[in-house]
Amino acid sequence: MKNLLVTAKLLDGRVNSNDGLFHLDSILAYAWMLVHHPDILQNRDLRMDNLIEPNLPLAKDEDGNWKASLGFYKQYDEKIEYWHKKINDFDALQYVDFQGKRGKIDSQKGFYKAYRIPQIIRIIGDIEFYCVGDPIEIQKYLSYVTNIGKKGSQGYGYVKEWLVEEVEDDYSDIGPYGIMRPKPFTGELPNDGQVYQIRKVRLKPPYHLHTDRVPCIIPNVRREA
Amino acid sequence: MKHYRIETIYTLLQPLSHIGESESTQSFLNTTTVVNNGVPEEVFVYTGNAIRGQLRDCGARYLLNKLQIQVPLKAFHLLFSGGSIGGAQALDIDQAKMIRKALPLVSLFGGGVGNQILDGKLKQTFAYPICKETNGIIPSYIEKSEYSWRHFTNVIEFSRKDDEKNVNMSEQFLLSNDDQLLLEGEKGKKQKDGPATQMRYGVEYLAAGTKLWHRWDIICTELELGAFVSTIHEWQKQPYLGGMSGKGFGLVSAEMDLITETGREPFAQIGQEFIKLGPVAEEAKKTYDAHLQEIYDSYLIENKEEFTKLLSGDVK
Repeated sequence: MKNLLVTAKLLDGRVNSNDGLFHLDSILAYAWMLVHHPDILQNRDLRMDNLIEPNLPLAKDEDGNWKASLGFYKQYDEKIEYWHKKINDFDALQYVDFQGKRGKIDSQKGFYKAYRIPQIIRIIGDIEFYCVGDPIEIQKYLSYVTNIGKKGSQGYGYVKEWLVEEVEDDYSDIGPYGIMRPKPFTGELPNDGQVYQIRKVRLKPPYHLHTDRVPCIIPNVRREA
Repeated sequence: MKHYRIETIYTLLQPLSHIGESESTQSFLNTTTVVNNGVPEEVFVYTGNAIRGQLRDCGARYLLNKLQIQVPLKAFHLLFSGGSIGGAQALDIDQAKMIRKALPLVSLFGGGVGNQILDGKLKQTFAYPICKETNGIIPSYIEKSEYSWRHFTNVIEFSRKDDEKNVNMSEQFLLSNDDQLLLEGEKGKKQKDGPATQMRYGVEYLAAGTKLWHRWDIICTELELGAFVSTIHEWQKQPYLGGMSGKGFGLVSAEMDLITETGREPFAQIGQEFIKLGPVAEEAKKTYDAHLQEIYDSYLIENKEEFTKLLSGDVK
């Protein structure tokens, strides 16, 4: 296991994320699931009673959490963009079997409702992660990650290249930007000149689950642009 | 599963309209901010959602044409729009697997069936014009452009006429108010000399000759790649991007390459009147066509109802 800097070089700098937090262990856990349990991952069969502990090429700390930081980046801009979904009423004329009844599709409400969904798009530079792990295995799993953030299927968050480099020190916990990943809040904020927020989050992937969340200090991942 | 990386260069053969915002009667091209060589720049983009939506429609058409069937509205919604989640029915993993196996198109594009989401397997970039603002984004093998994308745009004005106000035409073809009254009663009576519903409107477009670059990353089986090739095969019949194709906009040609570890090889070439598939695409399409034939033989001849239930997520 080595001290590593992992850099996601983005194609166009556009990522789709509400909170702007990217966890390296979560990204690797996704790739690990894609390799070892693709059916469970892609069919969303991740129930609470069916959680799988991934075997990631990362070291663990004394609390059993993966030694991997959040992603830090320069943010240039933040925009609201919309995506649209609407039933294809043109082709419905030809391909729908209305079984002799009057064909009517209500796109104003209900099952076939048309959507215009806002999403937060961040315009950012390369994303820096720090971790302790096996560089060859990490590079192998990252080759499965072509997009990060939401809506990769629509073209957001495309990663042009993943760089994995050795660094001298372990910055997965404390590093150049202060606290490098969410840490349980014990009542006092660090006096290191950095800005932090306090929020309830999980300490290991999958981070979107609302179970086992604890109040944590969250680092400010946005560096000066 | 294999990782297929497919890059496309679209060449506009007609102007392209892909609207972002409108102001009064003017429509403007869709733009966004990108980071190009570390500098934020504004540039036109053709969205991935538009490309994906169009190909999903094409794939669904190809499937239903091959199987020669019409389907219930719920199944239509799944095939053409990805469906919706909701309702009481639950779908277990075996049934999800069954849908993926029977319908590689749904497996590839994803969808909501019952109360379960089936993840799609397509990842992509947006389509970017090859221009000064994207020099750091598009791959290095493409010749860099010295021109800003703004040099490739212009505005075209259209008129919509209200022919009811054209005296020569209305005298010849339009019922007089008296005749209208006789036919439809008071309800059909029209206000004479009401305001004309006509206007002049402007559309910003990207000029013919502009090239767009785009990339797909698909981690899937050969059968699912065949479903992807079927979408391209169907799209080639009307190879248009963007809006107003009825007015002469959006015709393109496309050169698609498969990126391999050793270099690149042709995947598909789509011209104005032809499609030429490379060996990998050709083989994948054959596999998919054989699969559709098998579905047709084993499901549709004797058990159509079961198949349409599967499409609707009604199996349990």
